[in-house]
Amino acid sequence: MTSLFLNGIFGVGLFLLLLAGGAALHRLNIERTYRRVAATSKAKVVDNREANSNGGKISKDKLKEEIMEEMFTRQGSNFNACAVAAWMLLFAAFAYFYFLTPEIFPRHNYFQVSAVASGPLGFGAFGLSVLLFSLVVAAFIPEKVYGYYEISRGTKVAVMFAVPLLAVSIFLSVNLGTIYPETDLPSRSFAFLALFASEAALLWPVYADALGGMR
Amino acid sequence: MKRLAACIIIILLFLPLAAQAQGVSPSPPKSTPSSSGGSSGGESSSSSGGRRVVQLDLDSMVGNMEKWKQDDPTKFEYLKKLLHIPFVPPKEYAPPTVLVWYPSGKGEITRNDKLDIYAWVKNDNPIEVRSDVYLWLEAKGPGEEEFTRIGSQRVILANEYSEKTNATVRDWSSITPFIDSQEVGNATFRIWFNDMHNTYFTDTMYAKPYQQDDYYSVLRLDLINSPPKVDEDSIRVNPFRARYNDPIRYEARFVDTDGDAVSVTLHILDDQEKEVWNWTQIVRSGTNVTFIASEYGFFGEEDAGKNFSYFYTFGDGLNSNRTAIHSGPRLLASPKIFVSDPDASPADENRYWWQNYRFSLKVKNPEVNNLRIDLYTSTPSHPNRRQDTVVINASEEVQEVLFDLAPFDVSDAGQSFSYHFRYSATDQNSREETGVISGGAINPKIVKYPIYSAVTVANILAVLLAALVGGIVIERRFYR
Repeated sequence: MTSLFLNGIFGVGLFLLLLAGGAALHRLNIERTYRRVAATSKAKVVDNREANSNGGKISKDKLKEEIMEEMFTRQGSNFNACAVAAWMLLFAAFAYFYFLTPEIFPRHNYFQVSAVASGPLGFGAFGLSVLLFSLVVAAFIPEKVYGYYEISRGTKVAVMFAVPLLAVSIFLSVNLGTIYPETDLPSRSFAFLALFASEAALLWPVYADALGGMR
Repeated sequence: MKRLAACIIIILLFLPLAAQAQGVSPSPPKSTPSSSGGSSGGESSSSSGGRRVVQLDLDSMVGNMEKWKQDDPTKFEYLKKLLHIPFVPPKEYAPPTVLVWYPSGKGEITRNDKLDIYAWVKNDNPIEVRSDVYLWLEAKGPGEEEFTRIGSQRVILANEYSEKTNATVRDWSSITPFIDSQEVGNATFRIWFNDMHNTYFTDTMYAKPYQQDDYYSVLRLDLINSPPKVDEDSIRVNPFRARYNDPIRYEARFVDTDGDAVSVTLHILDDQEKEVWNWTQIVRSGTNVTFIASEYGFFGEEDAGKNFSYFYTFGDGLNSNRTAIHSGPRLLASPKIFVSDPDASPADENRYWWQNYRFSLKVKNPEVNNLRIDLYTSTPSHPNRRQDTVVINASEEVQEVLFDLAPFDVSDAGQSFSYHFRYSATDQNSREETGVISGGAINPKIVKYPIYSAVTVANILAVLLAALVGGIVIERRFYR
């Protein structure tokens, strides 16, 4: 179990696999919804070239566009703000956990950038730079992903709860950095669990819809 | 008719000798001719039993001849004509055929090639007609007008020919006729020979030049030369930094593929690249040439502190070349300062990378003002890093130079470090730096602040707040 928390290849692979799985399932969920709606539509769905709305025909793209508009649901300001913050913190916690100290990747870690890492603002600079990059992705998650799902209150709570959970993970990872080269397995374990539990919570709406669709 | 007269005179002269043949014996040659004081014609007479016996004495005869030559030169010349019988070879006699035999067939030769050249001689005359043959090998090198004789004379007696072929050979083996040649080009060989009747040269005796297989009336070869080369990697001056009276050795290796001796001249230049000395050695190809400065007296005390350079010119007598200019030696200046007790100590025993370290060096500097002392540290992450410079002035007292600084960063954590000082004057070891001194290991801890420190907490809070603010701003900007 100890080696599981310290296995960088496993951890990074699992993190990326969950993300890729979420992206793929989200695409399948949208496609499944479209097919169901198209099957029940009175208008005849044809290829884009044959589309003629006057003749009772509608193109696939047009139908998909209309369906997406119909499906979009506002999730609420607090949820959206928390979701964006949680996704940004997810990437920051991931970087702190795996790439802060030489413990997991001795040749690829933040302390190789010695000029910044040697300063008193090193931890902050590292986290802020990761946040800046992750902002590009996180900003569109509520609109492009969560807006197409009916997210239950419990799931929303879970997504919003990811923010403090990720804060704990970051705190523990920084603590591991301050005591390096000593190690603290409980901190490492809890930070790992907090990181992946948060990722699971943030992706749960997609996975849950996919499971429902399968049933 | 003349021959007949000469025969009669000889008979008359030797008749008494024939009569007393039993009593005549050659007497040893004397250094000066003497007169017997007896009868003319070199004969002496004695009476024995009423008979007059004429005894021919060679010394008396020679004496008479000289007397006749003086007294009546005209008659003496006439007598000579009467006695002269020119040798006429038999009518069936033919001069031998002589050719140069060069079996190696190598058309291009160098000065050091050892050549094997033979005279092939065929003499078809009957053995009773043959005469001795005397031979010389002659060669003419590039640029030479005349042939010169090579080696020693060879002789073939009448009975030294093969009975089957009537031929024989004489050799000039392992000859190096052009070893001192100063030119390259055509090299020509011929044979001079004399058969007791006449003198011949193989290059002119035949109506047209003969060449078949390895046999030549005149042998023409091409004398070539490969220029010597220098092994650039072998050029060195050792030691590169030295005192003026050290045994500084200039070494280099030159190779001449022809095996020629190489004349090597070392040219030493001062710091203005002006030649100040040169010296020449002649070395065998492939051997190291060594010039030891102290043996030749290249450098004196006044050269201390100067930088020199050098190059070589080299040649084999036909081709010459030169090397590039190489720097060295750097002659050490006379000591100006005395240094001792270099030391490094961390602020505390933890030896963290973020701590200050105190480096010190004791310097006695009686004469140099503005003496620069640089501190360098080395770790695997930051090799040979200059940390700081201290400038001191001359003083009769020993000065302690201090550097109190934080020389490392986080990438040095867990590594060993070393340090050394460099200074702008020569120390007592004729050096301008101390040796590299080990400073020990740096603590592997990488973060200066504990988790509960305000700095760490502030860093974490900054990240969390940035994420929350980012979420709120995004929501307000894009989702309303």
